[in-house]
Amino acid sequence: MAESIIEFNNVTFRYESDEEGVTLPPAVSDFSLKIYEGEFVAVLGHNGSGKSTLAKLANGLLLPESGTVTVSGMDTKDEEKDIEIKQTVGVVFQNPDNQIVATIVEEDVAFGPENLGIEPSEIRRRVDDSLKIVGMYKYRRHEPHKLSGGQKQRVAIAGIIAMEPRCIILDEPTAMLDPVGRRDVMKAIKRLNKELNITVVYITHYMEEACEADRIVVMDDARLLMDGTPREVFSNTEKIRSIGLDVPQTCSLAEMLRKDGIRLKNDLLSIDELVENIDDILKG
Amino acid sequence: MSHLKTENLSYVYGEGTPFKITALDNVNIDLEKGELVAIIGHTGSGKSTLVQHLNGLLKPTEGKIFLDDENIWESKSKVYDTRFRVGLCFQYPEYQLFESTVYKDIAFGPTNMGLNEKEIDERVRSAAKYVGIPDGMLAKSPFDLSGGEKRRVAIAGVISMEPEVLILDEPTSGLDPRGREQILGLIKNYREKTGKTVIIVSHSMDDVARFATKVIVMNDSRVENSGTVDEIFENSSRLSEIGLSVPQITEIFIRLKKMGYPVSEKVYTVEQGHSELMRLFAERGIV
Repeated sequence: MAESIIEFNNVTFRYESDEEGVTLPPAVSDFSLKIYEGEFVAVLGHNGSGKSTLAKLANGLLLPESGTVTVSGMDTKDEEKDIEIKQTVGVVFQNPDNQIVATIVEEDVAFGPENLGIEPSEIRRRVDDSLKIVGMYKYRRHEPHKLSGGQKQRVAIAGIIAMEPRCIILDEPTAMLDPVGRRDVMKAIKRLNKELNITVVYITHYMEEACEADRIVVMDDARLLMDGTPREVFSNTEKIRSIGLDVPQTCSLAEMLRKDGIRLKNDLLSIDELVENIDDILKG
Repeated sequence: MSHLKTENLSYVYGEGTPFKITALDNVNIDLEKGELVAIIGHTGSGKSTLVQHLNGLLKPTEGKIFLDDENIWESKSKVYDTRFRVGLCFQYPEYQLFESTVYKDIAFGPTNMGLNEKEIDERVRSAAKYVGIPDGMLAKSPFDLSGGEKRRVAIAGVISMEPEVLILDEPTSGLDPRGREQILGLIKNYREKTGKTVIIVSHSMDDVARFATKVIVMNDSRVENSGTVDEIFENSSRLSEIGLSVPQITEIFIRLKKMGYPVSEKVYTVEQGHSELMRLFAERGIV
């Protein structure tokens, strides 16, 4: 079994209210979870269920009220480890326009490693490698504001990879993108998980995207509700729907057909699997 | 009859500077009253720039916009008028709430229209009811609401002006599936009850396929194509070339058809897919 990279142990966190004397309910409540090195974990949950808070707790942007969060064994409350923790776990947010700082793509990607005090030849290598892995190398001399949303988001991801984190957390990175932008970002993320063995924590509202992960964690009202493979999680259609989420269209369709007596396999997930299974049945 | 129309509309950002970008290039669209129009296109294709022209927020570099056959830029008063007749709800409108209470935020538009207090009150309450914001919430600060609630308040702020054309730029982005269903339901309902024209800009092909009566496809600042959902989703390979896609459910039927099965490719919802497949299974004696 791989080593764990992020551990949440009975973590509770609440935001402070603007009004005096008012205590808000916890955004994350008695939450425990281990994320292992090399995993690709998708996090699902309705708006306000605590997903983004989780992302910020994982690299010490927020600190727990009770319980502990550790990154490679370092407690996020330990101020001396703060820089090392943020180097280990990088975060990419929803809006690419808020994350780009330079006027040339390669300078933007170099920003992180420059701040880490890395020597120029090594920065050059990292910038080139990062842009290649996200498929943006040929745009290295372009101006970021002239890129499409999906391209900008891939530049933002390259900027994080150039700091060589062991884990990258993405908070709805495709929410503002068109279908092809979404697909390209997903492809880049899968590559860095499979080829560079970077642990990926991927927060999303797109059920189809979550299917690409090794494991899905479902949050509901500040707590952990489900934890399993995409097949396990999406086969529990009723539970998923009861908390305001949905299952991919392939799963819904398969479920309806099964109810009508069509003998489809139990854990179909992708279009390929469903089409193949329907073909088998029709051929008898 | 033409309700809202653009004629050779072009728009250039930063004209006369080295940063000049053509955002709209000779765009001609013609919408009829009561249609539910979806504008789709890759990011940066010009969708948002186009809708910001429809209520006179941006002035065309070239070309004209007609509302009920009248040029909206003909006079100052006409363009002012257009901003109330065509209501525009921006992307992520929840970031634009600014008043101290939900009530005041929804009342902002009607107040600017110069309505009296009683009329404003009626408008606010009926718009709030429309989007499912209970009376008890009206006195709250908009900042104490959830993301989905804030979005509905922002939409109520536009509906309260009772515009003849309601435009929503990416109304469901960033929402969870339940929030998405609520917003789409209320948009559909608004159109059916009032008979008014609704335009949505969307990246969600699933939503577009289910709701739109007309689809306009933008690509690189131009109108690539327009027509019914069937006409637009027929050419799935072209759609993916220009950054778009067909719904997952439609993809299943395109594949089955390619394999030689006699199924329709015009399947946009899981329910349609279910009945189409059951028909096929019945024909083959499987059920």
